[in-house]
Amino acid sequence: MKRVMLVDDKDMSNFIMRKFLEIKAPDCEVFDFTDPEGAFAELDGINPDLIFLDINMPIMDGWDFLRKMAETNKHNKVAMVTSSTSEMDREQSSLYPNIVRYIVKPFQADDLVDVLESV
Amino acid sequence: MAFEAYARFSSRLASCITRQDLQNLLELHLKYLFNFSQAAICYVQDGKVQGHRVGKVNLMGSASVDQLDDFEAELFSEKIPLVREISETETARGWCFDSGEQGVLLICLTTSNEQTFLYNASILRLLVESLSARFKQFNLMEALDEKNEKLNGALQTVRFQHEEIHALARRQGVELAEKTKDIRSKNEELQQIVKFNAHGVREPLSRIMGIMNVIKITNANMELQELQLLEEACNDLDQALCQIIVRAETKLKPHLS
Repeated sequence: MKRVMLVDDKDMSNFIMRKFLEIKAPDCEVFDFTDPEGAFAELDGINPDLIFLDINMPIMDGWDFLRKMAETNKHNKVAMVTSSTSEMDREQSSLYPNIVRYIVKPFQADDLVDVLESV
Repeated sequence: MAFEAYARFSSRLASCITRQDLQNLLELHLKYLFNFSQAAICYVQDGKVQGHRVGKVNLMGSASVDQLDDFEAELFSEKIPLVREISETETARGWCFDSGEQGVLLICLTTSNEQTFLYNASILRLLVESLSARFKQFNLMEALDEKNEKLNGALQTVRFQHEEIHALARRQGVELAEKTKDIRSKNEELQQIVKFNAHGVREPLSRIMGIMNVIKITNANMELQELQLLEEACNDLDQALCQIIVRAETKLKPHLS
Protein backbone atom coordinates (compact mmCIF):
# COMPACT_ATOMS: atom_id res chain seq x y z
CA MET A 1 0.00 0.00 0.00
CA LYS A 2 1.47 3.32 -1.11
CA ARG A 3 1.44 6.30 1.19
CA VAL A 4 0.62 9.64 -0.39
CA MET A 5 0.91 13.12 1.12
CA LEU A 6 -1.09 16.04 -0.29
CA VAL A 7 0.25 19.53 0.51
CA ASP A 8 -1.90 22.40 -0.81
CA ASP A 9 -3.17 25.42 1.10
CA LYS A 10 -6.55 25.14 -0.68
CA ASP A 11 -8.95 22.63 0.86
CA MET A 12 -10.66 22.18 -2.46
CA SER A 13 -7.48 21.13 -4.27
CA ASN A 14 -6.83 18.46 -1.66
CA PHE A 15 -10.50 17.42 -1.90
CA ILE A 16 -10.24 16.99 -5.68
CA MET A 17 -7.01 14.96 -5.43
CA ARG A 18 -8.39 12.81 -2.63
CA LYS A 19 -11.55 12.12 -4.65
CA PHE A 20 -9.52 11.12 -7.71
CA LEU A 21 -7.26 8.85 -5.65
CA GLU A 22 -10.25 7.27 -3.88
CA ILE A 23 -11.69 6.33 -7.25
CA LYS A 24 -8.54 5.48 -9.21
CA ALA A 25 -6.17 4.23 -6.51
CA PRO A 26 -8.28 3.10 -3.56
CA ASP A 27 -5.40 1.05 -2.14
CA CYS A 28 -3.19 4.01 -1.33
CA GLU A 29 -3.20 5.77 2.00
CA VAL A 30 -3.71 9.55 1.72
CA PHE A 31 -2.59 12.22 4.21
CA ASP A 32 -3.64 15.77 3.28
CA PHE A 33 -2.34 19.06 4.69
CA THR A 34 -3.28 22.70 4.03
CA ASP A 35 -0.40 23.79 6.28
CA PRO A 36 3.03 23.00 4.73
CA GLU A 37 4.92 23.43 8.02
CA GLY A 38 2.61 20.88 9.67
CA ALA A 39 3.14 18.54 6.71
CA PHE A 40 6.92 18.87 7.02
CA ALA A 41 6.74 18.10 10.74
CA GLU A 42 4.87 14.88 9.92
CA LEU A 43 7.16 13.89 7.05
CA ASP A 44 9.34 11.44 8.99
CA GLY A 45 6.37 9.84 10.70
CA ILE A 46 4.35 9.30 7.55
CA ASN A 47 7.37 8.71 5.27
CA PRO A 48 5.26 8.98 2.08
CA ASP A 49 6.14 7.27 -1.21
CA LEU A 50 4.97 10.39 -3.02
CA ILE A 51 4.19 13.99 -2.09
CA PHE A 52 1.84 16.05 -4.27
CA LEU A 53 3.17 19.53 -3.51
CA ASP A 54 1.66 22.87 -4.50
CA ILE A 55 4.05 25.76 -5.31
CA ASN A 56 2.13 28.89 -4.39
CA MET A 57 1.36 28.87 -0.69
CA PRO A 58 1.59 31.57 2.00
CA ILE A 59 4.32 31.54 4.72
CA MET A 60 6.08 28.44 3.36
CA ASP A 61 5.73 27.87 -0.37
CA GLY A 62 6.57 24.73 -2.35
CA TRP A 63 10.16 25.84 -3.02
CA ASP A 64 10.76 26.50 0.71
CA PHE A 65 9.41 23.01 1.42
CA LEU A 66 11.80 21.47 -1.12
CA ARG A 67 14.79 23.48 0.19
CA LYS A 68 14.04 22.36 3.72
CA MET A 69 13.82 18.73 2.54
CA ALA A 70 17.24 19.06 0.86
CA GLU A 71 18.75 20.67 3.96
CA THR A 72 17.51 17.85 6.19
CA ASN A 73 18.39 15.06 3.73
CA LYS A 74 14.82 13.94 3.08
CA HIS A 75 14.59 12.25 -0.31
CA ASN A 76 10.87 11.46 -0.66
CA LYS A 77 9.65 11.69 -4.26
CA VAL A 78 7.72 14.82 -5.09
CA ALA A 79 5.21 15.69 -7.82
CA MET A 80 4.80 19.44 -8.18
CA VAL A 81 1.14 20.34 -8.63
CA THR A 82 0.57 23.91 -9.67
CA SER A 83 -1.74 26.17 -11.58
CA SER A 84 1.30 28.01 -12.96
CA THR A 85 2.08 27.57 -16.63
CA SER A 86 5.12 29.82 -16.23
CA GLU A 87 8.37 28.50 -17.73
CA MET A 88 10.28 30.04 -14.81
CA ASP A 89 8.56 27.69 -12.35
CA ARG A 90 9.10 24.67 -14.61
CA GLU A 91 12.81 25.51 -14.97
CA GLN A 92 13.21 25.95 -11.23
CA SER A 93 11.69 22.50 -10.63
CA SER A 94 14.56 20.90 -12.57
CA LEU A 95 16.97 21.98 -9.81
CA TYR A 96 15.58 19.39 -7.35
CA PRO A 97 16.43 15.73 -8.17
CA ASN A 98 13.58 14.27 -6.06
CA ILE A 99 10.94 15.95 -8.26
CA VAL A 100 9.54 13.20 -10.49
CA ARG A 101 6.75 15.11 -12.25
CA TYR A 102 5.49 18.65 -12.91
CA ILE A 103 1.68 18.55 -13.11
CA VAL A 104 -0.29 21.61 -14.21
CA LYS A 105 -3.78 22.13 -12.76
CA PRO A 106 -6.46 21.28 -13.72
CA PHE A 107 -5.33 17.68 -14.13
CA GLN A 108 -7.10 14.42 -14.87
CA ALA A 109 -7.37 11.54 -12.42
CA ASP A 110 -5.15 9.46 -14.70
CA ASP A 111 -2.34 11.99 -14.34
CA LEU A 112 -2.18 11.22 -10.63
CA VAL A 113 -2.36 7.48 -11.14
CA ASP A 114 0.35 7.62 -13.77
CA VAL A 115 2.85 9.33 -11.51
CA LEU A 116 1.84 7.22 -8.52
CA GLU A 117 2.59 4.03 -10.47
CA SER A 118 5.98 5.38 -11.49
CA VAL A 119 7.31 5.60 -7.94
CA MET B 1 80.72 112.14 -34.83
CA ALA B 2 77.87 110.83 -36.98
CA PHE B 3 78.96 107.22 -36.39
CA GLU B 4 79.08 107.84 -32.67
CA ALA B 5 75.52 109.22 -32.85
CA TYR B 6 74.48 106.23 -34.93
CA ALA B 7 76.08 103.80 -32.40
CA ARG B 8 74.02 105.42 -29.62
CA PHE B 9 70.89 105.31 -31.80
CA SER B 10 71.52 101.67 -32.71
CA SER B 11 72.03 100.52 -29.12
CA ARG B 12 68.77 102.20 -28.06
CA LEU B 13 66.96 100.77 -31.10
CA ALA B 14 67.78 97.28 -29.82
CA SER B 15 65.80 97.95 -26.66
CA CYS B 16 62.68 99.25 -28.48
CA ILE B 17 59.83 96.86 -27.82
CA THR B 18 56.85 98.79 -29.20
CA ARG B 19 56.30 101.08 -32.14
CA GLN B 20 55.82 103.91 -29.63
CA ASP B 21 59.31 103.18 -28.22
CA LEU B 22 60.63 103.51 -31.76
CA GLN B 23 58.72 106.74 -32.31
CA ASN B 24 60.18 108.16 -29.09
CA LEU B 25 63.67 107.13 -30.15
CA LEU B 26 63.27 108.81 -33.56
CA GLU B 27 61.94 111.98 -31.93
CA LEU B 28 64.97 112.17 -29.66
CA HIS B 29 67.88 110.86 -31.73
CA LEU B 30 67.14 111.16 -35.42
CA LYS B 31 68.21 114.80 -35.38
CA TYR B 32 71.78 113.76 -34.44
CA LEU B 33 72.11 111.73 -37.63
CA PHE B 34 71.13 114.43 -40.13
CA ASN B 35 69.50 117.83 -40.01
CA PHE B 36 65.81 118.34 -40.85
CA SER B 37 62.75 120.21 -39.70
CA GLN B 38 60.45 117.26 -40.41
CA ALA B 39 61.20 113.67 -41.40
CA ALA B 40 59.28 110.60 -42.36
CA ILE B 41 60.36 106.98 -42.54
CA CYS B 42 57.95 104.66 -44.34
CA TYR B 43 58.22 100.91 -44.52
CA VAL B 44 56.38 99.46 -47.50
CA GLN B 45 55.59 95.78 -47.72
CA ASP B 46 52.86 93.92 -49.60
CA GLY B 47 51.23 97.22 -50.60
CA LYS B 48 50.96 98.39 -46.98
CA VAL B 49 52.76 101.37 -45.54
CA GLN B 50 53.91 101.66 -41.96
CA GLY B 51 55.87 104.64 -40.89
CA HIS B 52 57.02 107.22 -38.47
CA ARG B 53 57.03 110.95 -38.90
CA VAL B 54 59.17 113.16 -36.81
CA GLY B 55 58.31 116.80 -36.36
CA LYS B 56 54.83 118.22 -36.72
CA VAL B 57 53.33 115.03 -38.05
CA ASN B 58 52.40 112.29 -35.59
CA LEU B 59 52.99 108.58 -35.85
CA MET B 60 51.72 107.17 -39.09
CA GLY B 61 49.45 104.19 -38.84
CA SER B 62 49.13 101.36 -41.34
CA ALA B 63 47.90 102.60 -44.67
CA SER B 64 47.93 101.48 -48.27
CA VAL B 65 50.32 102.63 -50.96
CA ASP B 66 47.39 104.56 -52.50
CA GLN B 67 47.41 106.86 -49.47
CA LEU B 68 50.99 108.09 -49.95
CA ASP B 69 51.20 111.76 -50.78
CA ASP B 70 52.43 112.83 -54.20
CA PHE B 71 56.06 113.17 -53.22
CA GLU B 72 56.12 109.80 -51.44
CA ALA B 73 54.28 108.11 -54.30
CA GLU B 74 56.73 109.47 -56.86
CA LEU B 75 59.65 108.44 -54.72
CA PHE B 76 58.25 104.96 -54.29
CA SER B 77 57.48 104.56 -57.97
CA GLU B 78 60.71 106.06 -59.39
CA LYS B 79 62.96 104.65 -56.65
CA ILE B 80 65.56 107.35 -57.19
CA PRO B 81 66.55 110.13 -54.78
CA LEU B 82 64.28 113.17 -55.14
CA VAL B 83 64.81 116.83 -54.20
CA ARG B 84 61.90 119.23 -54.52
CA GLU B 85 61.20 122.79 -53.51
CA ILE B 86 57.91 122.51 -51.65
CA SER B 87 57.69 126.24 -51.08
CA GLU B 88 59.96 129.24 -51.12
CA THR B 89 61.31 128.29 -47.77
CA GLU B 90 61.00 124.49 -47.71
CA THR B 91 62.84 121.73 -49.54
CA ALA B 92 61.95 118.05 -49.47
CA ARG B 93 64.53 115.31 -50.02
CA GLY B 94 63.70 111.66 -50.36
CA TRP B 95 65.43 108.32 -50.78
CA CYS B 96 63.91 105.02 -51.60
CA PHE B 97 65.69 101.84 -50.53
CA ASP B 98 63.93 99.05 -52.34
CA SER B 99 64.94 95.41 -51.91
CA GLY B 100 62.09 93.99 -54.03
CA GLU B 101 59.98 92.45 -51.26
CA GLN B 102 60.01 95.57 -49.18
CA GLY B 103 61.03 99.17 -49.49
CA VAL B 104 61.92 101.96 -47.13
CA LEU B 105 61.28 105.62 -47.92
CA LEU B 106 63.29 108.23 -46.06
CA ILE B 107 62.03 111.77 -46.52
CA CYS B 108 63.39 114.95 -44.97
CA LEU B 109 62.04 118.47 -45.06
CA THR B 110 64.45 121.32 -44.51
CA THR B 111 63.81 125.05 -44.34
CA SER B 112 65.92 127.62 -46.13
CA ASN B 113 67.12 129.27 -42.95
CA GLU B 114 68.62 125.97 -41.77
CA GLN B 115 72.14 125.03 -42.64
CA THR B 116 72.83 123.21 -45.85
CA PHE B 117 71.49 119.64 -45.65
CA LEU B 118 74.29 117.47 -44.34
CA TYR B 119 74.21 113.71 -44.33
CA ASN B 120 76.40 110.69 -44.61
CA ALA B 121 75.17 108.13 -47.13
CA SER B 122 76.63 105.22 -45.14
CA ILE B 123 74.79 106.36 -42.02
CA LEU B 124 71.56 106.67 -43.98
CA ARG B 125 71.94 103.16 -45.35
CA LEU B 126 72.78 101.75 -41.90
CA LEU B 127 69.79 103.61 -40.46
CA VAL B 128 67.46 102.30 -43.13
CA GLU B 129 68.72 98.72 -42.75
CA SER B 130 68.40 98.70 -38.99
CA LEU B 131 64.94 100.32 -39.11
CA SER B 132 63.90 97.93 -41.86
CA ALA B 133 64.95 94.95 -39.69
CA ARG B 134 63.09 96.44 -36.73
CA PHE B 135 59.94 97.00 -38.81
CA LYS B 136 60.12 93.45 -40.03
CA GLN B 137 60.49 92.23 -36.45
CA PHE B 138 57.49 94.29 -35.34
CA ASN B 139 55.41 92.87 -38.18
CA LEU B 140 56.42 89.32 -37.35
CA MET B 141 55.65 89.84 -33.68
CA GLU B 142 52.30 91.36 -34.52
CA ALA B 143 51.49 88.49 -36.88
CA LEU B 144 52.52 86.09 -34.14
CA ASP B 145 50.33 87.92 -31.61
CA GLU B 146 47.44 87.79 -34.05
CA LYS B 147 47.94 84.06 -34.58
CA ASN B 148 48.23 83.50 -30.84
CA GLU B 149 45.00 85.41 -30.36
CA LYS B 150 43.29 83.27 -32.99
CA LEU B 151 44.70 80.12 -31.40
CA ASN B 152 43.48 81.28 -27.99
CA GLY B 153 40.06 81.92 -29.50
CA ALA B 154 40.09 78.44 -31.04
CA LEU B 155 41.25 76.98 -27.73
CA GLN B 156 38.39 78.72 -25.94
CA THR B 157 35.96 77.34 -28.53
CA VAL B 158 37.39 73.85 -28.11
CA ARG B 159 37.16 74.15 -24.31
CA PHE B 160 33.60 75.39 -24.53
CA GLN B 161 32.66 72.56 -26.89
CA HIS B 162 34.47 70.08 -24.66
CA GLU B 163 32.43 71.29 -21.69
CA GLU B 164 29.23 71.13 -23.74
CA ILE B 165 30.02 67.56 -24.81
CA HIS B 166 30.73 66.62 -21.20
CA ALA B 167 27.49 68.24 -20.04
CA LEU B 168 25.61 66.43 -22.81
CA ALA B 169 27.23 63.13 -21.86
CA ARG B 170 26.32 63.72 -18.20
CA ARG B 171 22.72 64.56 -19.12
CA GLN B 172 22.49 61.48 -21.35
CA GLY B 173 24.00 59.35 -18.57
CA VAL B 174 21.37 60.57 -16.13
CA GLU B 175 18.58 60.06 -18.67
CA LEU B 176 19.89 56.59 -19.49
CA ALA B 177 20.04 55.68 -15.79
CA GLU B 178 16.48 56.94 -15.31
CA LYS B 179 15.23 55.02 -18.33
CA THR B 180 17.06 51.88 -17.21
CA LYS B 181 15.52 52.24 -13.76
CA ASP B 182 12.11 52.73 -15.34
CA ILE B 183 12.52 49.67 -17.58
CA ARG B 184 13.74 47.60 -14.64
CA SER B 185 10.76 48.67 -12.57
CA LYS B 186 8.38 47.83 -15.44
CA ASN B 187 10.05 44.44 -15.87
CA GLU B 188 9.57 43.71 -12.19
CA GLU B 189 5.95 44.78 -12.46
CA LEU B 190 5.49 42.52 -15.48
CA GLN B 191 7.02 39.62 -13.58
CA GLN B 192 4.61 40.28 -10.73
CA ILE B 193 1.68 40.25 -13.16
CA VAL B 194 2.92 37.01 -14.74
CA LYS B 195 3.23 35.45 -11.30
CA PHE B 196 -0.17 36.72 -10.27
CA ASN B 197 -1.80 35.42 -13.47
CA ALA B 198 -0.10 32.06 -13.11
CA HIS B 199 -1.10 31.52 -9.50
CA GLY B 200 -3.76 34.04 -8.48
CA VAL B 201 -6.02 33.70 -11.52
CA ARG B 202 -5.35 30.24 -12.87
CA GLU B 203 -5.46 28.61 -9.45
CA PRO B 204 -9.15 29.25 -8.61
CA LEU B 205 -10.06 28.48 -12.22
CA SER B 206 -8.19 25.18 -12.02
CA ARG B 207 -10.12 24.35 -8.87
CA ILE B 208 -13.42 24.98 -10.65
CA MET B 209 -12.31 22.81 -13.56
CA GLY B 210 -11.03 20.20 -11.10
CA ILE B 211 -14.33 19.95 -9.25
CA MET B 212 -16.13 19.62 -12.58
CA ASN B 213 -13.82 16.71 -13.37
CA VAL B 214 -14.69 15.18 -10.00
CA ILE B 215 -18.41 15.52 -10.74
CA LYS B 216 -17.93 13.95 -14.15
CA ILE B 217 -15.84 11.06 -12.90
CA THR B 218 -18.13 10.24 -9.98
CA ASN B 219 -21.11 10.54 -12.31
CA ALA B 220 -23.10 11.84 -9.41
CA ASN B 221 -25.31 14.78 -8.69
CA MET B 222 -23.55 17.79 -7.27
CA GLU B 223 -23.42 17.50 -3.52
CA LEU B 224 -23.68 20.46 -1.16
CA GLN B 225 -19.97 20.22 -0.20
CA GLU B 226 -18.92 20.32 -3.85
CA LEU B 227 -21.27 23.22 -4.49
CA GLN B 228 -19.76 25.17 -1.58
CA LEU B 229 -16.24 24.49 -2.83
CA LEU B 230 -17.23 25.57 -6.30
CA GLU B 231 -18.70 28.78 -4.93
CA GLU B 232 -15.51 29.44 -2.96
CA ALA B 233 -13.38 28.98 -6.09
CA CYS B 234 -15.65 31.30 -8.08
CA ASN B 235 -15.32 33.99 -5.37
CA ASP B 236 -11.52 33.63 -5.37
CA LEU B 237 -11.44 33.93 -9.15
CA ASP B 238 -13.65 37.02 -9.04
CA GLN B 239 -11.38 38.64 -6.45
CA ALA B 240 -8.29 37.83 -8.50
CA LEU B 241 -9.84 39.41 -11.61
CA CYS B 242 -10.81 42.52 -9.58
CA GLN B 243 -7.23 42.79 -8.33
CA ILE B 244 -5.90 42.66 -11.89
CA ILE B 245 -8.28 45.46 -12.92
CA VAL B 246 -7.22 47.64 -9.94
CA ARG B 247 -3.53 46.99 -10.57
CA ALA B 248 -3.82 47.76 -14.29
CA GLU B 249 -5.75 50.97 -13.57
CA THR B 250 -3.15 52.08 -10.98
CA LYS B 251 -0.38 51.59 -13.54
CA LEU B 252 -2.32 53.33 -16.32
CA LYS B 253 -3.39 56.40 -14.30
CA PRO B 254 -0.02 58.28 -14.45
CA HIS B 255 0.00 57.87 -18.26
CA LEU B 256 -3.62 58.99 -18.67
CA SER B 257 -3.42 62.14 -16.54
